[in-house]
Amino acid sequence: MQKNRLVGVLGCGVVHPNVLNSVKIDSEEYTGLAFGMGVERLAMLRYGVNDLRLFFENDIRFLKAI
Amino acid sequence: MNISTTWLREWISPKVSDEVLAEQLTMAGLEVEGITSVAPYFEKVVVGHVLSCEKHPDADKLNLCQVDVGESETLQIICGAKNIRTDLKVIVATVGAILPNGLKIKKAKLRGIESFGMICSESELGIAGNSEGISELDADAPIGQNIRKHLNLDDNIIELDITPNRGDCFSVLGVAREVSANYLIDFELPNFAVISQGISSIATSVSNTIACPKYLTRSILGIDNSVQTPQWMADKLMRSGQSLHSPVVDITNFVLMELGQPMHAFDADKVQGAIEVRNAKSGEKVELLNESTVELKDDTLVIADDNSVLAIAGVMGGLASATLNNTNNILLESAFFEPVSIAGKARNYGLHTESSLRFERGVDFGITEIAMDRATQLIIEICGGKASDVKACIDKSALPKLPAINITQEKIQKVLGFELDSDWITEKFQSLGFEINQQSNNSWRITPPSFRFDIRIPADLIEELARLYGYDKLPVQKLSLDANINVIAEAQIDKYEVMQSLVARGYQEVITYSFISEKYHDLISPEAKKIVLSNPISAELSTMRSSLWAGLLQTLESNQRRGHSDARFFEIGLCFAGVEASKQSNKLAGSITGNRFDAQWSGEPTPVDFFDVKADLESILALTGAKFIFVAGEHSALQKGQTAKIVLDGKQVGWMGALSPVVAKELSLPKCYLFEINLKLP
Repeated sequence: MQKNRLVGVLGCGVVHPNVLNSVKIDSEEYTGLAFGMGVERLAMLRYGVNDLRLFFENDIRFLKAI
Repeated sequence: MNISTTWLREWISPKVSDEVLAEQLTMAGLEVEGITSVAPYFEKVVVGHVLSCEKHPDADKLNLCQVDVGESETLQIICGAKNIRTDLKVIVATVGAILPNGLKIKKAKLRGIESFGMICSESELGIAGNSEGISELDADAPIGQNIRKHLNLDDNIIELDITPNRGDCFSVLGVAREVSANYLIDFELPNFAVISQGISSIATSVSNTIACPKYLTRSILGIDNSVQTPQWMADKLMRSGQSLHSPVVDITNFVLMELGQPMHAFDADKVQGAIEVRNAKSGEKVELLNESTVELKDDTLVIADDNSVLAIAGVMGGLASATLNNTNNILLESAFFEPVSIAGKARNYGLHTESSLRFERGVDFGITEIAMDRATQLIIEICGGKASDVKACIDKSALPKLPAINITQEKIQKVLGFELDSDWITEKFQSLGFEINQQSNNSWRITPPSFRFDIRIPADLIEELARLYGYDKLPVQKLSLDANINVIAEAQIDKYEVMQSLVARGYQEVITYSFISEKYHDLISPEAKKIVLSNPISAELSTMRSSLWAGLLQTLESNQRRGHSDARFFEIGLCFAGVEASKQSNKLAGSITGNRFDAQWSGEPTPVDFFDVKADLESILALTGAKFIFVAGEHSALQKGQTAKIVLDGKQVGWMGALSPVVAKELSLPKCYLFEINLKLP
């Protein structure tokens, strides 16, 4: 992970009116917030792991190391 | 997209450093991926003029030069480069200079003769360039001028990551507009006056005006395309990541980077008859500028003359009508192609160009004429020639519609959660180039500008206000909620307790994908409902899992390939018996293989068996205090005679046993034991 570079860890935003309308929620009356955090991304920063796929490979040496 | 900050600052220059400017752009939604300086730090390097150049009396390969660096005395410098010669303008590192590679320039004696400096190449200064011998500067380079100034090296390159909705930012003009809206500094589009005379000899027509609402051409006759592209333009192009070609192509690329309008120049003498913008006929072929020949589909818009296809509209020109150094007469094109008709076409033919990228995202249909004049002005300035009037085919009804959008203070406040000052809102709307048709104290009627394809509904306007206000400055409001602590009944055990006790028994927790291959599904749970994805990432990830065993066996397999076969794994995760939420349930599964213990002195290694996995399972079932019983059973993935159903209150809740030898062989797995139970998580 490079220093002084931004890494997105928690995408969030106001839900687009079209999304609300498509699930039959009146976007004039309601607004929505959506946000989600990838735990892997934070674990990568915490443990200095540079490839997210390692978390799903389940190599026993990797599992024992973190 | 890369953009040079000196180029940007020619248009608009807020009084902040490049770093601060980049940070501001990022915070306002135009992400700066990186900022790099054109040249590393060095000083005392100047333009020198070689007054004389003789062979070194004691060395064949060295030359003894007298160099004028604008001081009262000329410098005697020894230089070993082959291309050194009298009257050359060169880069001189004077005594005291420190070059980026750490070299300190000192007075030196080479084979008995003193040398007072070093003549350098661009690569010795840490900048890209031809490093064969020393750099040769233009003959009119001012003697003694600081080289940083002469080569405009105090420049930074900002690398922008432009989101798909902001195609308007793919140019210096577009970024300048953003800077203008951020810093509330006005800037004017320069006036690119062109004196044109006569009419173009090439007739132009558009037969598909839906795809091409606007098509402009102009002939420029009697140009000299063999001249050198001026250094200022070459620098700007190269710093934007563009390579150099002939002046005409460089100028069209320059206008593309400057105004965001992709342009094309045809060699007018190679056009046969009239130009038509039409759809390709199926099977028509064209050899493109990249020297590949493509067979066209009839959904592709092309530029054609009487005989053949000259270019794929908005993507790439053809080789046959390309301009070369000896081209005298050109036909310049500036057009607006409708984004949907261009989208995906380049990729269909395996192409990706600066032009297609911009047309797909949406090019400003208000800049077509301005770009035409800008390119014409530059061509006449650099290559000479006489320009004809512009021939324009415009179908106004096919141009994108710019609907007026109504927005109220109340709506803004509702979405953002706080009140913005009305005057501030008005000011920001104006700075973004939005036309305010009607306005009261707390409502606006806005028409978006022709370059903003992403502004169509009130929410888009609110987004503009939020990002220019600064997402980082939005007031923080604590949400109030009733803290109802999730009560866990005493009879229930916590998931973490189960996980801890398995870890204590030597297990590793794994997380595998919810998607598995059909092969694994058919081997492990052929009787379960197979839920196949309609658009899987790959065949390996095409089916929703109905059992966790698929992932565990894959984990076993990959670890075994790496020589780790003594392993205990467990996973807790969702399995899918159907697509409805009610058909999804959490399961806990585990697998063990290899030897019971690590190798040690006190005994022979013993492989794990049925009773090891049963003991592990019983230890966690015991946490619940309920009475589970094990009943002999048969399962397609498990070995006969070594399979048990796990039953609670007469209902089956899971399976355990040895992996069937047939499945093990099919998946190249060693002997292993598995369990899986249904969980009811609180």
